[in-house]
Amino acid sequence: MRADPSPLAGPDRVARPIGGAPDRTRAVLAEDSALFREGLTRLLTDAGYNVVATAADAGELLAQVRGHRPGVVVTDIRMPPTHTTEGLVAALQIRAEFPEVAVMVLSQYVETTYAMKLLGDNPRGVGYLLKDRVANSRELCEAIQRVLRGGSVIDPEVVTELLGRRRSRDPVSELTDREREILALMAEGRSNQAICERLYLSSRTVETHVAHIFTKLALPPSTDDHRRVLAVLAYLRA
Amino acid sequence: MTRRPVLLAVLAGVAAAAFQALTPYLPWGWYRPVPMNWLLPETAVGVSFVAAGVAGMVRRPASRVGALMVATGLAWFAPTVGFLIPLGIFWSLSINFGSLYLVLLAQLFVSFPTGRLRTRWDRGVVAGAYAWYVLSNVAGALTWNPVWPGVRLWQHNVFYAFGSPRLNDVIGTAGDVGAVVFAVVVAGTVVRHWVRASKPGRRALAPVLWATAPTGAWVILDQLNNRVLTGARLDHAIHTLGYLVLTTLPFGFLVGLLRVRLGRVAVENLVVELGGHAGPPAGLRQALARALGDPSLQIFYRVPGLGGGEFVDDAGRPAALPGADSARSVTVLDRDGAPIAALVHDPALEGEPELLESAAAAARLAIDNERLQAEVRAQLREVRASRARIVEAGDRERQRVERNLHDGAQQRLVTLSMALGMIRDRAGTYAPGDLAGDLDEAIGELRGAIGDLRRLARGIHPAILTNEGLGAALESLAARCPVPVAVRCQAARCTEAVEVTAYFVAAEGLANVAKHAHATRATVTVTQNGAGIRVEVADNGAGGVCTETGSGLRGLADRVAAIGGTFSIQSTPGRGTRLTAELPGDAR
Repeated sequence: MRADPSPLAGPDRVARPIGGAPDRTRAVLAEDSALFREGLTRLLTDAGYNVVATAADAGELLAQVRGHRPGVVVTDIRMPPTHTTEGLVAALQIRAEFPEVAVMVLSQYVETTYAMKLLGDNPRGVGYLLKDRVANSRELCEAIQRVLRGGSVIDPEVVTELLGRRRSRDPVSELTDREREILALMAEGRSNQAICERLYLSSRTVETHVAHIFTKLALPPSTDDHRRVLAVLAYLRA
Repeated sequence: MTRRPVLLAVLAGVAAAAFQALTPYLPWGWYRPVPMNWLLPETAVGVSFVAAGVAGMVRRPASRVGALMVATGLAWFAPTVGFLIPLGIFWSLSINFGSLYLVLLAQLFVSFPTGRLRTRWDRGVVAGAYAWYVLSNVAGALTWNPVWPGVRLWQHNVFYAFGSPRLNDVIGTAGDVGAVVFAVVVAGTVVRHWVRASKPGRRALAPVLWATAPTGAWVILDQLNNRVLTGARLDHAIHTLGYLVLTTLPFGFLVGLLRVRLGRVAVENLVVELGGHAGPPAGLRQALARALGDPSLQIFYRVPGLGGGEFVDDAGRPAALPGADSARSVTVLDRDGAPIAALVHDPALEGEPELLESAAAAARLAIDNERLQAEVRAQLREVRASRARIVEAGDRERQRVERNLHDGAQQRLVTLSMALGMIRDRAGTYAPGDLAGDLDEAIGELRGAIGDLRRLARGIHPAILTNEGLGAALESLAARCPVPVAVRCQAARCTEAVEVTAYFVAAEGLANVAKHAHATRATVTVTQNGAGIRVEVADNGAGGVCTETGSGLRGLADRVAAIGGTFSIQSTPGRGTRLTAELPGDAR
């Protein structure tokens, strides 16, 4: 049962295309396995996206993106011909060429290196999700919605690994459970508003927690969500 | 060498000289181009070549120079036949093809001191000289019909076909120019041999090198004589020079041939030196090189059953013996009839087979000893290479398994989980009961399995290592370690085998830290170490680790050694553990 059957529902709904502006629900998929590609196309179509093109490798993906100017691109990280990270490379290229196109990279690797590479220094409209998130279409579509709205998404499992990393002098271990929870959500790229909704907390409470976390970690306070996710990730990776 | 060729050479020489000396006194008088007062020096030239040649054949039977000198002497006398037998054909052959001795002389210079033509250049020069000799003289024979005052009726050129004074002049000039060119080329070749020769070679070549200048000068002057230069006095001077040069030249060759000989003293010194020989293989080579006076001497040992050639050098590397084409000579030494080694040396030593033989006999035991050592070294190289190949094959296999898991099972399970997810979505809308809950549970199990598979694949071969390099892979490894790990990686990218080995050193090291060390922190440090890298995993734990206790560490040491690296463990109880691996940069 989808609480949010259409990405266009909800408070941050994206405007319909007006006069040549790209239709934000138009999607391009890249995935080398035909079965998975078809399933994902169906899943996104069911969710209200218009899958205008699919690609089986990175070159085709770039060509389709240039031709269709979709609102969002969902791509596998490992594709022919080298089966390494061509999906990631293509994603970076798309982000450089078409900053307005939201990019979601699906990966089998729990590797923060790839996620950080993808975010670069501009985490707007980009996401790194583990491929098995497709089992939950609501979760997946919510994440795609977030990148479509210009937010960033880091897979919770990647964040868990970052938080689980042991440091010799570890301010993270001095955080309360609630604070760690909020830190993880910030690292996943969520805004204060989203954290409030997720944890059923008031926005004042969340703001207080965030301020505490930043003090304990000795990070300069930041109100900008994008800068905040980069700062938190950089801190956790250090 | 049997005596027959020597005997034949002596007989032929004596007969030819006798005929030459007798021709003017034979009852039938005829025209002959050699004036009476030149008869003595004319005969002396041939006699000197034959005599020096015979001496060379006797003293240096291994060299063909002696035989070549005899042949040159006989070729010098050959035209006499044309004056001895009153037949037009012999006379025609004599006057047209009498300069064969000049080509043989060129061959002597080029092939000295072995009498063999070793390089393609040498063979080319001599073949060219022969070709030019045949070509220019055939052309001359067809177009030249000399009529000297006093010739008999049968003394005419039977080959003559057509001709004119102008054609004669052109062909004659071409022949002379060719002779000058070949004189220069042959002289240049001798100089080249000298420049490239080693010590014994130069000792042998010295007299010949000195003889090159007057001989070449005479050949050139002789061609210019009566063409550019004129005058009876000049003609006389050039002839005198010619006879002088040609009479003394054979003895120059002979001296060169005999000079190769080195005393017995050298071999005696060798025996003494080998008595105390226990040093590196290079010592044996140097001792032999000194005894034979050839610093360029090489020893190759025969190790049968190796991949590639049969011979190896003293480091155990497979080595090919120089072919017959090479400017080097090969002497194969055997023991009980089976070849054990080969000496590669200056061709000049071929003229001294006794010296080579006695030196080799003195060194045989030491050489056989070295051969056995070279064999062991060769086998060791082979074993090392095969060990590296096995490790590499293992790495490739792990990589392949990881790839198959990722693109196969993992991908299928993810697709399956997506399908189940979509069914669940629909079931939520239409299906009764707790179907959606059951499906959720199944999907949860499936995601657990996908996670397990992902960790398994990562343990088999971390894809990030191949894609992003050692630094990123070590960071990722450190992030998963339950003990705080500081990673410092300051090395350029290396070959895959080195990076994979470095990674597994760190992985195994950190796994041990986590399991046994009771440490509160650890460091992984990768630094550039010359061309290679140095990997160090250190912790502040309990220490007291040794290779024997953990098969993991034993395996690591083997792995590092397989690519030619070294592995060490410092682990004092209570003072932490430090694993250090030094890996070469060039391992494949």
